[in-house]
Amino acid sequence: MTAILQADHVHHTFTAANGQTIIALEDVSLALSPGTFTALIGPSGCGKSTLLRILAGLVKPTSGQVQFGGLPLHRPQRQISMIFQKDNLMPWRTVYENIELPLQLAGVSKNEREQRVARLLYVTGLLGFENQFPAELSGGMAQRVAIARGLVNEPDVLLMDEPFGALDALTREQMGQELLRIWSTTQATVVMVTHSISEAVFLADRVLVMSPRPGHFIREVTVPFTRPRSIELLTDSTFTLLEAQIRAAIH
Amino acid sequence: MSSVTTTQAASLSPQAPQSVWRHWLRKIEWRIFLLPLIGLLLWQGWKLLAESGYYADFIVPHPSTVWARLTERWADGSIVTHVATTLREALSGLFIASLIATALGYIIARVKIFDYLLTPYLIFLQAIPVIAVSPLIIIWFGSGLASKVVIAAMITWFPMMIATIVGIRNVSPNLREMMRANAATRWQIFRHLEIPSAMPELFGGLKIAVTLSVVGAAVGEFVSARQGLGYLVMYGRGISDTPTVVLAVLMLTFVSLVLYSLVSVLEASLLNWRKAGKP
Repeated sequence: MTAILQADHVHHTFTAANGQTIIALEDVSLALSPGTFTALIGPSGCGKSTLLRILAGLVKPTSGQVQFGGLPLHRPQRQISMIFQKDNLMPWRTVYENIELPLQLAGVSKNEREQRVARLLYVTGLLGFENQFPAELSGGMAQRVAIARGLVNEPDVLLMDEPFGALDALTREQMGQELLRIWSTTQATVVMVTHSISEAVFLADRVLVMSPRPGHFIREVTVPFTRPRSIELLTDSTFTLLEAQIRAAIH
Repeated sequence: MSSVTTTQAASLSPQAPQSVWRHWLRKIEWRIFLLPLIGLLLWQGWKLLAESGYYADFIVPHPSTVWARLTERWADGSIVTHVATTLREALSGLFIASLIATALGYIIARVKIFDYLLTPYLIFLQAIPVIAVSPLIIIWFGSGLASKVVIAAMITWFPMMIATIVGIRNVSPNLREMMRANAATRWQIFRHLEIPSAMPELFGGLKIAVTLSVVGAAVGEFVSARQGLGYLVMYGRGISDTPTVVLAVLMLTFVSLVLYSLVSVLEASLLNWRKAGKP
């Protein structure tokens, strides 16, 4: 299968505040097949987030190329959605209006916006909250809104930068399951940056392990479990074995 | 948990009828009575001072004399003309200043080179005391509407510009990135992110500017005018009629207060989201 999103020999350096040149990414190549779920894992500051921003077209790599749908990617595309660690909701917009934003920016008609937002409200379990402001929501609820906003324009690719990083452990587990359920209603290709090994194994089809700076892939682990996956998987022996392999690769 | 508290409240109220009274007493906004009370005290204090006999009517006029001046000028319609003149000057000045100041503030906040080149000169401009140059403005723009509009604009542009700069600089970089990731155009970022995000600061600036605009119009009228509340102050002084001076000052205060309240009401209705999530 041809890759929908592909990075070829991406290098990225940037200049720190003290004038030092930092190599963030070194020769990173990556190909994403349509409909797959990939997790990026690695120590802090290994360039995971930078890579994600390069894949989103937000950051131009120092060298190397990113292709989206066979064409070079130069700027953010509406078919590539990004979900951030912080919910990044607009405090002056209601839940409904926040989810609606990407459609509004894309010039989708009001009628169609209503239908699509309504569907996402339903899928993400936010029905009844549509007129609330972000300040009235819990962290988990706010992140649900951010996920709904990321999916509302039915993107081909969904990039997630530690989407559950700001949540407590219990909410996080629950949101992971929710995400799988929501994702199963879409055809999106997902790349998710995470710090949590179990989250990576639970959610993804494959886990890419990155080295400390300069970041590059040191290991690829294919996750064999079928979907839908349930929470019992977390205590499965194969699951714990995969976790141990990834942990060993990181340290 | 909420079901527990509601059942408790429901079971308590029939057993304790006096709590209904207490409930109503607590519900009354006592501040509403307090506010006119303070006004009444000030009025009585003024009256006592005027009636004490220590000061001539020329120094401290009796409130009833001031009231008489108001009814006279209400009857012949002249007070309405003066208020309308000052109001037109102040609001025109504020409007023009807002356009210029928000445009300037925006490019200063967004483009570094403009900040570097313009800011020193703009601060220099602000450092010129408007009151001192107002005679010059009258010489340049005549003693009609234009000069007052210019003075009102000169006194209000700075708070509006600072509010815009602070508002635009405070736009969350995370939200900017989110907008960029959604392939938003520059115009969409301006329209859907920068304007709504800067609204609280803009209203802060507008609240300062709206009262200053009345000061600006009055200052212009002090120097040279044939109408307006500032003119009325000078007129009253000229014919040694202190009650007219006091009336004009009170009317200036009243106009400022009304304008400020209108801005506050507009702010409360536009920025209702800021109350969200707060007890």
